[in-house]
Amino acid sequence: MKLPMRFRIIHLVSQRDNISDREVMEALQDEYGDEGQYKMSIIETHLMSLRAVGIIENTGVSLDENDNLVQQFSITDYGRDLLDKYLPSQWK
Amino acid sequence: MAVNNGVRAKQMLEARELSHAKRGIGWGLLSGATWGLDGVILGIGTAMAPFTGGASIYAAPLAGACLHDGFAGLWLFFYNLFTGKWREYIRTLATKPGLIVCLAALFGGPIGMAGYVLGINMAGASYALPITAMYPAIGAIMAVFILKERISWRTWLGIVLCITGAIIVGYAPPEGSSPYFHLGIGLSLLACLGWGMEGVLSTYGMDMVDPDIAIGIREAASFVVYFVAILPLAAGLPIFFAAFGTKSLWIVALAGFFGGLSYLAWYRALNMTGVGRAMTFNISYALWGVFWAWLITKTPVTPALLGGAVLIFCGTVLATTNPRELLNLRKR
Repeated sequence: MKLPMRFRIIHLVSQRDNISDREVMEALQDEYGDEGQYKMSIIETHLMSLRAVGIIENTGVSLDENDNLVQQFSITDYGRDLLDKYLPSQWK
Repeated sequence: MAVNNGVRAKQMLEARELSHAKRGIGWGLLSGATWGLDGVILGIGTAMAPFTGGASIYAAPLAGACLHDGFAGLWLFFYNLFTGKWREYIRTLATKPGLIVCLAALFGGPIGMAGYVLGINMAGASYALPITAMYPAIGAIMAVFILKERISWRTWLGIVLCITGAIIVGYAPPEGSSPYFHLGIGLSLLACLGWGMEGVLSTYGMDMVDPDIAIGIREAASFVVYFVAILPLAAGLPIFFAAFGTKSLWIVALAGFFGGLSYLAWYRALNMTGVGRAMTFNISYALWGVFWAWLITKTPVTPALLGGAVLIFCGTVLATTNPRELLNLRKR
């Protein structure tokens, strides 16, 4: 079964250090692309909330050629602990 | 150029994070205002037939609480359907954090909400609401024993203020009040225990769950437990079914709408602005409750009621938030 999208975002960040918000969006396309929740605004909110509660951390920020903010994230120790505890075994 | 870009990017990021936290505060305040309104509307709905009858003094308020959570769960499901998140219910329930949400629902629903509804019914909304607003303080005490959290003197002072406020609010019931007034105050305290435990469990497992889905599951799980376990025990099912087709059902449905909105806002605020700050804004419902009860049901605002509500509010702010941080969001 698919993971809940927010859970999958944590999993993705844990697998790729310094992953950017856009790379998260692209990586989720195949699994969640046909769902109404697959929107940049929703994914941004998840990323910012996960950062606020300390599961992921901001590792970089830059501007792209169109002056849009691009953020990069990595998993924190707390986030990795949570994944160790709660990630379903078929995803490990 | 590259250096300038870096500085500007950092400024933009800071602005975005600040706006995220501020939106969280907005959700926190909305959760307080709608929770106060929910309590007053639920009080009106459950003061009408068929909620005025029943085999025991518990049956009608519990049937009301069951319907309230059922409607809140239904409205939240419609909302999640609309935002394209409905598939997340099953996915979330297949994970452990999803099951922790269900366990939190047991404490928040059948214990917290039942105590709250019985409290409103027996002691009146303007008394029950400020007392149940003590739940963050109770949660802090439980966090010491269960999560092994350290509690500062400031927090203990806040807890003492809350309890003092609750005693002031509970002292000397107005004339003509329910004969079960003191039982109602006790049940409002039970609601605090349930919600405090819900908060502890939430902190434990809920960071990983989408708040919109967590609250949808919480309300639905709470409804199911009421319906299959609590109502049959309390002889509440006849009242539950009798409510369908009456005007009171629509009033409870409206209360459920505000309850669902309040919880949605609360769970979002927790995630966006931090537990301490979110709790502080959420419990502003003690003051909102007095305001809405005055506006809608013309409940007089006595000095003791207002004083107690203000004390509880101040105490909880002390207990759950560092006031300096509250004023200076940039130094998070």
